[in-house]
Amino acid sequence: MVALAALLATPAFAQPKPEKSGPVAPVCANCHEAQWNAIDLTAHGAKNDASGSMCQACHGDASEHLKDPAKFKPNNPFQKNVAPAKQAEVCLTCHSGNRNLAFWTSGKHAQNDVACTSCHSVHGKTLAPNINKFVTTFLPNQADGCGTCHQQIRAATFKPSHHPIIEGKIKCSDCHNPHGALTPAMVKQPTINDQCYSCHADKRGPHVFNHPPVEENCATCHNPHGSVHYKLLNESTPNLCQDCHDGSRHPGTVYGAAGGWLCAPGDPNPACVGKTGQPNPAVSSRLVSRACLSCHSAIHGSNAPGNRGQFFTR
Amino acid sequence: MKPKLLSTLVAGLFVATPAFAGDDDPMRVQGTATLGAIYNNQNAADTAKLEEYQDLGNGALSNVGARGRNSTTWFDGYGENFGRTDQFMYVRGGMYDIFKVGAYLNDMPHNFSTSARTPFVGVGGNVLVAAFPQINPATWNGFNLGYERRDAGGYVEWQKNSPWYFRADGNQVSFSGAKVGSGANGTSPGNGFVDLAIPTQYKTSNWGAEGGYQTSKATASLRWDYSKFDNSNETLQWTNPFFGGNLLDTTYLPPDNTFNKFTASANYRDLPWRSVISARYTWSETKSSADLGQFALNSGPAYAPTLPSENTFNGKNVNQAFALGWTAAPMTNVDTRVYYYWTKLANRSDVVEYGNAPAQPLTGGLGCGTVGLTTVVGNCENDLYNYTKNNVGFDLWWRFARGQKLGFGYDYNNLDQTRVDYDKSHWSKLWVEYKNTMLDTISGRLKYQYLKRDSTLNYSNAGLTANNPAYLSSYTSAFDLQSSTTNQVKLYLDYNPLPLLGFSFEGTWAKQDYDNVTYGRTGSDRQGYFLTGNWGEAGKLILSAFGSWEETKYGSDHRYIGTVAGGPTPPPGFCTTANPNCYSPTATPNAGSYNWNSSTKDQTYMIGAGLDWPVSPTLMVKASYLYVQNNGAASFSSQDATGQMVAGPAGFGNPLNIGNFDDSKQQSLNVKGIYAYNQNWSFTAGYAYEKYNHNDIGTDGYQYGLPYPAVATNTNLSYLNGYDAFTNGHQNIFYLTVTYKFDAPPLPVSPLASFGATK
Repeated sequence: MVALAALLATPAFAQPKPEKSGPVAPVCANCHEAQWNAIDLTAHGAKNDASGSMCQACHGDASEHLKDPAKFKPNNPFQKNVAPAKQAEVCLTCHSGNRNLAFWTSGKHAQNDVACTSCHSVHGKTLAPNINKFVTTFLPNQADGCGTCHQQIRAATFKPSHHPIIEGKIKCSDCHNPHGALTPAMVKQPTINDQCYSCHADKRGPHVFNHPPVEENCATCHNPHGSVHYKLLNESTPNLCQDCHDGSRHPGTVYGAAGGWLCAPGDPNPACVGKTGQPNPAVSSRLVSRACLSCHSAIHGSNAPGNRGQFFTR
Repeated sequence: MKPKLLSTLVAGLFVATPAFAGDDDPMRVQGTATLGAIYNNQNAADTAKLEEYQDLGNGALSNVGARGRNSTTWFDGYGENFGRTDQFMYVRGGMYDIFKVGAYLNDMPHNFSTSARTPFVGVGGNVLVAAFPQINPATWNGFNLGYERRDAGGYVEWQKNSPWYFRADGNQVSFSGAKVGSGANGTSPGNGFVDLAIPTQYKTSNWGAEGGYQTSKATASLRWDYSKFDNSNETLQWTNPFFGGNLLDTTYLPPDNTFNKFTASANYRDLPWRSVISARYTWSETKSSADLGQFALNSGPAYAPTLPSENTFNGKNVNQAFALGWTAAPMTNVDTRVYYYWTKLANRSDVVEYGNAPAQPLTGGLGCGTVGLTTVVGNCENDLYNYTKNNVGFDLWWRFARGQKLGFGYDYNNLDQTRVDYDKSHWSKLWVEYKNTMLDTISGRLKYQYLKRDSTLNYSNAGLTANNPAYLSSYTSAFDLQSSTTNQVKLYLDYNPLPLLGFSFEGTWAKQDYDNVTYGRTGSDRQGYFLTGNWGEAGKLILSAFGSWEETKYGSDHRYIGTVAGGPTPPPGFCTTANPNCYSPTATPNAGSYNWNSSTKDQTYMIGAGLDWPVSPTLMVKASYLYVQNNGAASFSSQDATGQMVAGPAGFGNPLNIGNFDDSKQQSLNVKGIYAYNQNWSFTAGYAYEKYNHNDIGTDGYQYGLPYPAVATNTNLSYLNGYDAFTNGHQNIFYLTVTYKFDAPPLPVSPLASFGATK
């Protein structure tokens, strides 16, 4: 980082002086001061000039407007009644060569009439109050923006088991490319698993014994946006596991409330009759704590020998 | 980050700025710095959930930010929470259209339990030792279960005003601490378990290089990614309490691996019908290498030979993906997209056979058997999982009137894989959507989707009797692939009569019915309704609120087979003579074998409200409240002696319903006031109240030993560490900060008369 700061400071990067007479705010700022202030210290502002070339890049030729501001209103291509594709065309006039937008037309956002201004506000706008738990970050949360459309996903991030999205430690765009992708759900990597492995490298294996649903799609068991069940699981264990695994003894055993830590109402076990809420001597190790995962802890794959590996117990 | 390095960095940012201060093109800089303190009064036996991903300890809060621009050069720098375990910082800069560079550091704690207990010594390392039995948890060792994660990286991009560009980036992610884990006692899950602190000393180094060509007509790029994952502990040894000799068992941790990926992507826009053709191909290879265990702790107790066919396992997965997309507007008011997506996983890992000698097979307790068996003699061989997926589809949109459009799409997927239960599956998805934006203030979207999946279950019970465990396989389905039909409806409505007045509704309803299920998941029903509203007047008061209700239900059918023969004659796992045909779904039910079903349900409610209230030109008040509640439940029925499905104790197996299946409540209240003393100085005082309550059958009444009360002579005793059991609690957070900010000096405004002079 220090090197970066020093690099920026070196004379080697002293650029040719621009052919203009000192920096000035564009002529547009005479009337549109707030709009200018919003872009002043941005790329749009830095590349502007006295005539407001960057202003005109979006709003069109201002010659007539300057002659008679009341009569000739500047073009606002981002009004509500302008089709999103038309709005995007304005931005793409300059940004179409940006490789990050290479797959824009293939993405869901383009198809669903999401305009650039749906997410980006060139001149700033008043934001809705932030609703969240207490967070230590001072930065705005990207998920607030995405959540204005994706309300179900946003709600999932508030659930007890979640990726650190609301804490601001990861962003929606860490996994999804909002500017378009050829993949379903516009995930950045070619597959769901590749996306997960990009952070969870410890799950990559390859292992001697693998669990095929794990290798095929992490989302079979996990909801990456949030869940009411620990470890982002889609359903409580042991039920989640039992939805695939039936067989003799414990995979096919019904694990009801009679196996909890406390005696349940109606439990006919003599040791629990009349003792509702007291310690249950028949507590089941397959229901409490992490249920199946307490023993099958290597569920993502194992290199352990023999049945220790095949049944993911080591 | 060391304080010296930090201060150097911050100083560097500002020192750098004068260098750009040319006479006629000065670097203009604005910045902010905040310093304050946080005090957190926590009331919870285990505070891990209250501070799951954050450092909420008492101490200093801080941030520093600056950005500068002139007409050619720019930089941004920001850092916060310096010296805390959730600190974050970045710096980036460059010259417009020529180059840019950046670096960042992102720290994050992940707390699982701040008050865990264990009978073991050596937490954090790769050997956990204890002398069992230890039935008094009060004498155990306390420890923090969690890790700290650090992600540090950077990038450089070079373009220099040309269509060609080059980028290189890299980062290193390191974990330090321990994560949640456990191990089965003895030789099988029938003997209880022990919770283990899995040592988590990971380091992943990622490097990437990319070059390409980008213009408004076409882009093309080549990229190479390399990633290396290092785990300092490839095994964890721990005393297995099942064996009287207190012998060490071994759990195998994630192996080191390397990952290489090549990506080629391109698109071309200058085609008829305003069409764009895009393609991407990726090839990646993941390799691992691990020494295989030659012995395993087994009954006896003794270390039994595992007799692997290889001493070292060489794992290799090769993934390929090819995507092709074509978008076009073939006629006025019609947009379409056609796509094809192909992915392939080829597992080229070693095939390893444990018990690699017919004359010396694996001993009992270590061998593998067929489905449904627990402890049998038999050699073990790994199956290599491979798949090929083909996906093709199209979308078509027709804007048939102003502000109205109709969409239609078809999507076909085909899966070929090497999986023992299903090797082929294909599914078709049809959707139709109507969107209306005729009115400026109201818009709506209604979508219906139909998905039909057909899979082939490989299992057959031809030639088998209902006394054979393999007989059951053909009746057992897996929900991720079983044939099914899904109907889904989504509705979106937006009403925005004024810039700061709006309502937004989202409703989803989906029902999935699995076909021909005897045992397994039979269906899922999901619905959710979400409403958001905003109201306010800029500069005066802005209010926002949302509410949601969601419900998810899963139904499933199962069969319990509890009493089987121990073998070898009849073979292990076969039904007993007292419980004949126990693997047949239609066998007469008894306490040893019967059918049962389950239905799990989660209902989740949320409400949230927030306000931004500028009380005066110098005082801003911000407040929010968030409430999240989940009610989870499971209901069961099982066969009685007549074969009828009945609820409660009347059925075999005593299937009592569960009323607390991940019930939870979260509340968060935030209030803060920001007082602007002048243009440069402001003060913020805030208070937050957070409460978390979790009630689950798995932790309600939790004990560290299982069964409880613990009996020292019980070799099946489980030893737990308290993870997720004592997280109920609340915290009161107070914080006070002072902020200094400075703005860039304003530029003189070009006079109206100058318009066109520099154009």
